[in-house]
Amino acid sequence: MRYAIRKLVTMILTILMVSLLVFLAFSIIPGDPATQMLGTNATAQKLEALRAQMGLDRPLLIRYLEWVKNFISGDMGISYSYHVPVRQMLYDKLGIMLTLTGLSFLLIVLLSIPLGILTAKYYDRYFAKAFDVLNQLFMAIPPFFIGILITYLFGLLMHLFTPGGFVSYKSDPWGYFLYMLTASFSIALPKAAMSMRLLKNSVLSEAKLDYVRTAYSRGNRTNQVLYRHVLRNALIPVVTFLGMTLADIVAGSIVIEQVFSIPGFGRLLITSISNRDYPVAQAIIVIIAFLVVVINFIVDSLYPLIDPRVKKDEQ
Amino acid sequence: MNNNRKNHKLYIGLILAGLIVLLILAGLIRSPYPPQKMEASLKLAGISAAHPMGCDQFGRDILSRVMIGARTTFLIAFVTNAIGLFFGILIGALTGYFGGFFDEILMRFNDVMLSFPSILLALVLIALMGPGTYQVMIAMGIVFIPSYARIVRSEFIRFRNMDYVLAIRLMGGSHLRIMFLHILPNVKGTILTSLIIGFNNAVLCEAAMSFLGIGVQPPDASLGLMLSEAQGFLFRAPSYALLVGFVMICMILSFSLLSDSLKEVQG
Repeated sequence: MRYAIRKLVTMILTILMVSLLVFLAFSIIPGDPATQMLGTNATAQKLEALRAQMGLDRPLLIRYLEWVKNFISGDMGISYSYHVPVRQMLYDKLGIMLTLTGLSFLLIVLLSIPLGILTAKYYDRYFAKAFDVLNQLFMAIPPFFIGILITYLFGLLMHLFTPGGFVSYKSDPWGYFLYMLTASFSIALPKAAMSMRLLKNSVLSEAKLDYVRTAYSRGNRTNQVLYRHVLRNALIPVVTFLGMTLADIVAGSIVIEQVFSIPGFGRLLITSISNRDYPVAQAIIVIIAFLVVVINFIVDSLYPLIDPRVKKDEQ
Repeated sequence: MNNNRKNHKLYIGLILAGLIVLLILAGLIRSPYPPQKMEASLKLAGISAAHPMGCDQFGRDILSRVMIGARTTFLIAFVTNAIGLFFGILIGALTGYFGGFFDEILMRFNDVMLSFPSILLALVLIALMGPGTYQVMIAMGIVFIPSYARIVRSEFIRFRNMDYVLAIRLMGGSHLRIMFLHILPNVKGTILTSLIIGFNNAVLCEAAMSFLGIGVQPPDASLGLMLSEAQGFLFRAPSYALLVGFVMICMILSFSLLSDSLKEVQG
């Protein structure tokens, strides 16, 4: 219990610190939002009035606290360039990010764990060695290049999907799912290769330990030893890796959205940064950071379930 | 058997790294064509004897641009890691060696930075400074500091109470002397392995940022920027994207193979 509370406090502190960092960063950026909104021809009086209306004349700390308070209650400010509430702009885009991240994560798990076990079990066969080479190669391909390759091979040559043909969830749920799945592969493949290799090495090194020999000597068959004994230990580093990868997946989705022209968080973030539309950029970054921190927290809390020794150490 | 495979990795890694270095050096001495020279008649021209990688959307020779693009990418990776490593060692050494309150605060701050996707942090910094090659170097350098600091710190904690350190203290050696003349050389191996991984990450991160249009700006070339340009002409000139991607893969593969074989030698 104390373990959980300590983690929770760390999590909240982390989110606060991230939000403060982001807020400060965007406040010290040169350029004045009021000038931004009214254009350079605006009179000094008008600018002054708008600054007062936006609260820009107040001290930084007060503005930060105000922003946090509003953020928690769901008011994320108003976009400088589109003049609509940020919340409204982000509403349906959050779903896209979650779909992309979720599907990628699922793919990584579904690809890497069975293949990792298989290649570890038959590590001296040719197909396992072929997978070693393939893994090494896939780890070296940047996700967005995999995206380009997928677009070229499956989109332009084989006509299996329409590149850039994103459809929204509301108009065509199945098309949306398929398009997101295609995009997810480009995030998932390099990570799946890493996780698969990690699992294979971890199973192989566990298999050398004494308790495995003991298990065999008690008359267990290979599969029993593998699934009941070896795998339980071998999965621990893989779970750690998967937890750490989640942040990468979220970040990766920003780039992949660009490759597949998916109108999600990533594209909005890039345009809002180049348009100096800071309320939008701030909100997106804080939401992404929040997601990452919460996911890390969940992984941390699941840890004792997989490895009961962690709990003991903490007590 | 195992020994044999290890050598394979090392050799392939060395060969690939050699090719990349050759490409960059050749570009430094003389590229086949001026990398910015446009030729309207050669727009998206295919592979030919005169242009081994074809031409891009402005009729510029892709091989020449890959040469300077690879150099830019390499240079960014180098400076990024130099910044990250310098401050990482400084922070990691001080906090690991002395510990205490300062260490606690700095490490919490480090945790925050690490829990944040690195490209996002780089994005915030780019928003502060504006896009461009030097800005990317600084932004990514700052982003890389925490991971190096963490590695160096844990190594310093391991060494700070060792007998040889205590012996030097007794002989009157100053803290700074112990940290940088006695402990740091022992940490070299660990730093080298993480440096190669850092190089890889930097190449990937630069490519992603330039791909998003917030990194290196045209008309300069970097591998990521070229890929993002090439994506638009995937149908008409697939060789453009494929070749540039291939060069990038070779670069990353060479680093990861070298780091793998280095790890196997060490461990």
